[in-house]
Amino acid sequence: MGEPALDQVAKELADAHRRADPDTVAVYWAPDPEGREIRLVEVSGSVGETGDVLPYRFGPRVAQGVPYASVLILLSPAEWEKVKLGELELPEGWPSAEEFVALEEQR
Amino acid sequence: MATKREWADAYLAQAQEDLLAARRLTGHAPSVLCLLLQMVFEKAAKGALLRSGQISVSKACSSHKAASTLIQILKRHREYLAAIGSGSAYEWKDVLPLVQELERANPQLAQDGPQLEYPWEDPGDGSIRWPARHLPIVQRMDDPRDTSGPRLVRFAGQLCEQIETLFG
Repeated sequence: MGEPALDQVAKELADAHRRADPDTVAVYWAPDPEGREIRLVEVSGSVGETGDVLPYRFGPRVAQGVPYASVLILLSPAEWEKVKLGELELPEGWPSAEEFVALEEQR
Repeated sequence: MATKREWADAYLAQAQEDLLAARRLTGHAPSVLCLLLQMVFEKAAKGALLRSGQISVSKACSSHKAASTLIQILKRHREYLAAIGSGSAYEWKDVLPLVQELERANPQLAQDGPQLEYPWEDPGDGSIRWPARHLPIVQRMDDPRDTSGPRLVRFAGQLCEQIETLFG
């Protein structure tokens, strides 16, 4: 059996994070043009404001069903607004916020 | 002779430097990331406690329990936590135990037990274990289904930033 699709793993990670943080407001998938890593932006009322965009990287974890590297950016709702307004910068090479794909919770 | 304030400022400056390095290690070397984060919290806490006059310089230089002391202070003074970040109590409930778990894994405190720097012998079966493979907090920080890592690194940044204000 081949590897699960990158977008499917992205949805699974988003769901796992939502279960861990009930204050999650929204999860966005920022497609990687090279299709090599999963990039998620999660907006949560449970995180304080740093005024900073911190990409936290994870290596692939094949045994856990995550065969791709991933990057997670946690933002407060106010920080997310600043990202949308261009007042907070996303990491270099990431698409703009308008190109993000909202990931709905999978039932 | 150097003042308490000079010692405090040096601890805080080094905590910021350690944090800068820690942030670059995510996704690459989670056990070293944890080691650096433990150092960040210890130094930031020593800076805060020195500034607020709650410890002496000699205590700061010799103690390895400054982070848990600071956590106790933060728990007693919720206004400090609120100042560090406007996140909900959920975040603090989630993150503060991780800071204490890192402290317990400090090599000076853990001694022959599970720790952040050196291998240790499992007393159960005599096998040799090491942090990168066997330390539970390292596994959590490197688990893409778990958001403990990003939360802890964010908190470290917020703490270092706000110590200037809170502990003047």
